[in-house]
Amino acid sequence: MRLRWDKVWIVARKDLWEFRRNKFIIYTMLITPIIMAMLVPIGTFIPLKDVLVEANVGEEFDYDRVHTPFVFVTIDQNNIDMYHDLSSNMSFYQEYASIRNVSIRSVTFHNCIIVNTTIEEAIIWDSVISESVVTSGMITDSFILNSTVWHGRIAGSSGTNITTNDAYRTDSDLYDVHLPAELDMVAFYRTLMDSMLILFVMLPAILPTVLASYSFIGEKQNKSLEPLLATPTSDMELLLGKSLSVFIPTMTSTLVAFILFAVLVDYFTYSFFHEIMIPDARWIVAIVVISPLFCIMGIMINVLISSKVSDVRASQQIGSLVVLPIVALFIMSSMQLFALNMMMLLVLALFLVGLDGLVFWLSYKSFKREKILVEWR
Amino acid sequence: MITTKGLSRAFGPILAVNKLDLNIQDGQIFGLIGPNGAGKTTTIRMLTCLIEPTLGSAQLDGFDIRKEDDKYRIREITGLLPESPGLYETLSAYQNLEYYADLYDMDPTVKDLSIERYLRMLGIWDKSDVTCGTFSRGMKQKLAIVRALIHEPKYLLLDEPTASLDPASVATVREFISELKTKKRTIFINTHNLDEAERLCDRVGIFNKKLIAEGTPKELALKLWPRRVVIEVRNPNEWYAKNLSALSGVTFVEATGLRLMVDVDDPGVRAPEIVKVLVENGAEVSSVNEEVHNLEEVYLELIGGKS
Repeated sequence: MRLRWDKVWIVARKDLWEFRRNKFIIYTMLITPIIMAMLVPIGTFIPLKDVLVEANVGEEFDYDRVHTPFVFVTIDQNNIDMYHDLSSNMSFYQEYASIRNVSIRSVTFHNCIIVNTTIEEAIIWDSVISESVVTSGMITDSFILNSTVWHGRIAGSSGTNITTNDAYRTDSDLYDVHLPAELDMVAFYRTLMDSMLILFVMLPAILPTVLASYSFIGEKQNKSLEPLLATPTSDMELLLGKSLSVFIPTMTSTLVAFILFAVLVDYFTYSFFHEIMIPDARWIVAIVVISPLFCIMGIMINVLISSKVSDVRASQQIGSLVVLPIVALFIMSSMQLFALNMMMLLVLALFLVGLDGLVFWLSYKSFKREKILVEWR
Repeated sequence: MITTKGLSRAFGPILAVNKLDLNIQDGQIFGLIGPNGAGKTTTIRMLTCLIEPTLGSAQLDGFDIRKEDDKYRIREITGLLPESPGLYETLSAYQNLEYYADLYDMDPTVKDLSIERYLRMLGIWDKSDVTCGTFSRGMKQKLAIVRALIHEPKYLLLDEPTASLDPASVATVREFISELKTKKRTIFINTHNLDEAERLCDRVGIFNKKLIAEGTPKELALKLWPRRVVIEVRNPNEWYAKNLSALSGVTFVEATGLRLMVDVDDPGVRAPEIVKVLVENGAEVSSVNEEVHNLEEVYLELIGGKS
């Protein structure tokens, strides 16, 4: 079998010339994925933005937002060594304030040592918390020891022997954490990202239906295949060239959409998670390995369809069925029948390599000069 | 040289081409003439290695259409114009030609010059960036012929080059093909346009599944009919015919009205003798012509009655 890559490129380049002249195709190829990539993070994270900002307890935090007219402070045993301007500011804002054996509500703590204290709805940062119970608090950049945190948020902190319930943790170095339930926010984020991950690997399988049907059947309808087949170009070169002309725009648009998506997601979640969440190793495997494999599958299935159908619309209709197995995957994942972890992705990649090999072999068998001219209807 | 030996192709139970034997010398224009569905396209497709023959073989320039390695060589030295031009209508004329030039591995500088030369020849060099979809059918057809020619193939195979064109386009396309004739290249034309075949082709094959007759248009006519001199006289007389049949070389004489039809072995030699005899016998000869059978008559005689 003869295969010269420069010939493959010549064949692909011609199709790319044609696509470039067809605005409709460019729109379908680029705009759909980009809109999807933008709408999902915007639609999901903008309503969450307030929640996420509240969690962002840092230097630039707007303290006024947590002050309410109904704030009150109860100091039980008057064992406070030092506090600063409680009436006006309601903040323990002094260097090394030490708070012991008290019960406090709706207060902000900075640089405090909190021991054996019960705190509700407090904001605590750069502090040490020991033998205490913090409910609905936001703890940042602090050290937590032998304490319980209920419904709180912990970020950038470290500690040991902590019981948490419904607390969101990021960037923290916590040991002996007792975690009664999966954390809401993280769980929600995970589910959302998993479905987006599947959407992104699905995309390159769907997009080729338009292009591939155009590339193969369009040529057939245009009756331009016969002179093309009479040139010294091998069947393999033609098949690969035509496939490449579909592969390039499909993967380009997938990548562009992905980068846009990652930037948006990271923009919205960075304040919460304090790290870049996308791309992680799973996303890299998904985009670099699995998406192209799905793309190849989509293209090859379309070649097979083209050998049986002579109408672009019919081919697109049938080609859209390629999506079904991926939709099944999507549903199974959202039903949490399996976790989309690294192992799972690698197994999927391996399976796709096999499947791609099979469909490629089948389409190569159907893509023979004689068959195209005589049998392709 | 294109030679075929017992070249046959069947599609299931249907025999499309039956034991075709051809010998086409280099530099000739050969026309394969036959009705629709005669197997002409199948023949061209076999010669360009697009489909395999069921039986028999064919060689172009010594390369065998059945050998896998030779197929590439054959595709390199042939250019094909299929039944429909199949241009990429959203691309420009230049791009259409460039695509094929690249597929034929043309050297970039030669390629550019060649494309420019042919586009100038078609008179559309100034429109080389215009999408082909806007061209007239005749222009598209000519462009498609150029596309088949761009790599200067030794063998040019044209499948119905003027079918489905209006008379004006037919004329320009035909003229274009005849311009190509001056070059040293073998042209194989499938056609059912007999006038075209007669004007363009050095040799023709009358074909309907199998080759019925082959030769120059003149040879074919001679195989079917004796050579005939037609003489018109102003004063018909039944005696003339009787007198002429006695002459040597004359095989048959018939008189109808003012005309005398005389079948002879060699009109060049016999016509003056006949006229001389007639004049000596008092006939007033107004015209002397050799009867010419055109290809259409040949074709209808060979195929017309049967199909």
